[in-house]
Amino acid sequence: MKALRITVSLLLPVVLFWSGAPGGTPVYAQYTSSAHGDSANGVNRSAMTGYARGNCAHCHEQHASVDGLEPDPVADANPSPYELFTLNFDSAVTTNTYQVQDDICFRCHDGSNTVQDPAFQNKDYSETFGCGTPAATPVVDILGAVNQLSYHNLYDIWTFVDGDDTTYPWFNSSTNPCSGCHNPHLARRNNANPRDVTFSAISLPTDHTNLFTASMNDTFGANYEPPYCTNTTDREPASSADAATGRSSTVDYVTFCTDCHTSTNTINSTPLGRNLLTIDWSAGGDKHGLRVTEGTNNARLGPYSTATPPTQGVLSCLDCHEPHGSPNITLLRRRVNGGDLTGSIATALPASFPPVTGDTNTQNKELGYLCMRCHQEDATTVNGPAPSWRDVHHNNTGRPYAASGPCSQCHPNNSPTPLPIGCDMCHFHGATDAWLGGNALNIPTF
Amino acid sequence: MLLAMGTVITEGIVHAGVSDKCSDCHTMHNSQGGQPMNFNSEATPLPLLLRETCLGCHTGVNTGAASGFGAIPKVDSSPAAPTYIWGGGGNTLAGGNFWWVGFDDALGHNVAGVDTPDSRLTTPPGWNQGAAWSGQLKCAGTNGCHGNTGVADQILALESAHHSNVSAPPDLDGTTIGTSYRFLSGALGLEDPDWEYTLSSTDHNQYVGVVSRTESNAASPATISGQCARCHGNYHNSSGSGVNEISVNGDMASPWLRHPTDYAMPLTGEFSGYLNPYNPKVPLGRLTTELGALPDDVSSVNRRVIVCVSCHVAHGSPYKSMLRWNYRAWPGADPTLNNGCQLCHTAKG
Repeated sequence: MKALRITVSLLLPVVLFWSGAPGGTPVYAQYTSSAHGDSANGVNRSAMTGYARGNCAHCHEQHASVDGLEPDPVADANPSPYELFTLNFDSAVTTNTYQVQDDICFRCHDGSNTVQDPAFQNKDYSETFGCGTPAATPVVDILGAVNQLSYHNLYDIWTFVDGDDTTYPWFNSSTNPCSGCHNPHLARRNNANPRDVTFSAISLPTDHTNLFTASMNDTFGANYEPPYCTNTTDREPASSADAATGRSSTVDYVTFCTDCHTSTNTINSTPLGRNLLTIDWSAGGDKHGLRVTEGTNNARLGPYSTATPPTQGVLSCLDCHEPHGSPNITLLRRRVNGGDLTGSIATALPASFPPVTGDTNTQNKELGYLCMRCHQEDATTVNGPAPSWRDVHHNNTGRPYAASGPCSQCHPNNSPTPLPIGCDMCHFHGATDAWLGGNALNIPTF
Repeated sequence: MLLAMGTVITEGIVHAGVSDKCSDCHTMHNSQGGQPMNFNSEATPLPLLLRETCLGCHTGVNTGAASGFGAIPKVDSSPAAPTYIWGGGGNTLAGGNFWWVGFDDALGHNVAGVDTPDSRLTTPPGWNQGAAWSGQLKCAGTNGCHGNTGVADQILALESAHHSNVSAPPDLDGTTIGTSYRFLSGALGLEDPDWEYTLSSTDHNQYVGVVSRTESNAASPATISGQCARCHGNYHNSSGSGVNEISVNGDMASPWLRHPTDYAMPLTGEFSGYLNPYNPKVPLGRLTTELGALPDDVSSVNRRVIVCVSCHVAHGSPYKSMLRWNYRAWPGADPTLNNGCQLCHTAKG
């Protein structure tokens, strides 16, 4: 019987064909143009032999099994929410170091232990969009990224988004925290198309069912000056030819990030043991945001040193921060504005942060490695190794503090070589110099 | 043998009403003129004085004939391969065809007489009955889908069924095997007169489902999915109450652990693109109160119940897991083909 059937089966291709659907109008384009649904580069779980790349089954098992069997990874044979092949997210894991089994995304986004065929890489923003070279300890996948010193804590995202059913009604306790920023059915291969915002990989948490493709140019126009990339001859992202190209090619990360990081939202950080700073990027908020910058000479470096800088210049969040994780604190990039940071920013901020009057000056100048990528440090080092910042605080035109006086009013010691004030005492989101108490100017200092 | 049988039976009509000649199906002594009366010339008599087994009559090529042997629904094509066209137009019926299981265990139910036992599975996938599965799947009876599930012998399990066969309510009330939908004990529904030999939005079976249920409710034999749950019960517990399984919500609600069945597909969100008319490529069930009327209308949740056979066929298909379409090939070079999931999940975002 079987031999006969095998012979006749040769006729099958002749008689099998697709007939038009009399029912609804299917929508394929969104998923099949996504990174996961792309038939050339999409999902392809090694265990799912015979399934086309991009097929739903690489992530979803409609019956928590396939043909009655449990395909790899078999260690987790229980059915999982959303019919996923393994647990979506283990909310018992509250901090890194993450393991592949903690989040289904890591099953593939772990270049060294992936269930995806072939393995692939997701390098950090500094490299993919910021023209950087691999770090000394290269980060080549998302699992590696979030296992660095600072990272977007998945448990905190999960807690925050799930805790607001009004703003994020689509998110529930079984939802993957990565979905807070990414819609896996829509996210596109931005890393392969870094200068095309239509290849964005993100969706607004408040608009999860749409891909977010607004550019910095769309929202801020020329008020956004894309940073240098390779050197001073090109711009982010990814060696854009000029500023106009750069701002049109950069996703509007300000609108995106401030969808959660608003001036009012309380977001707890488990690793930091406190709430995150709120972000006010409006004209009434930070100077790195839309607040009108004062003065004419703030010793800014290119491309921000033009004779007539925009009065409401604004930075993109990712001009300074990595989205997933960083070897520096607070997800600060290892490369900014066309150059690598010359030192590590690894010292943790004080447990009680932000500072208040009476707090001890940290004298921590590490943050200066970031600042000096855009701001001119002292031409002549005053006290200790670079960076030092006496000129911008005391000497330059428009200086905020007196050129001379009793240094010990603010510094730990008096002249002629006062000890530095830690950058983190005054320069952070929402900062003023209020910690100086009676000596404070109470001016925005970020 | 089949040609001979066809010659004999063309004088009468079997099944509905079983009219005309008793001798078309039965023999008193399995002997006439010294020769066996069984169509396959077997000397061993069959139960109920029958002249053939289930497959003996239900093997062949469907032709759409209205009477005679050709009118008997064929579920195992022979000698030629069946013609399967997703959505209708071939010569397979609603349950597909066992033909393909001969090539691959995953292409059909490994029914005794059709194929050898499944080489990979010793228990039906999703089996959640207390007692262990034993033996091979049969057409009917305790180890089968059709007939009286309390009777082991598949022929005896269908005793009298063909003589009392009805195809539509109110006669089709599930109280006997003959008055159950397609002899599935207790099942309700409305049978297409030609078992979907011809198929369109207005010409199709009407499967019974329930709009929603609580997870703690046992699968109902009245629904087509409940029938499947006899062997694949865990697959009916879509939010996970199978043996040794976790349960997210403890009830029927998203997020699903498995694809839901016996649950109404919403009219909104990603499903809003499945509009009228009913799409025979992905059949939807309906409440018993909706049987008969508006066969092409799926604008009410009462007529858009997700059932097992929305995606699968019962007997076999050319595609793995007995799916209606070549799911594994999607998206491929042309995602407009093999897009069965997307016919319901019309906007996945």
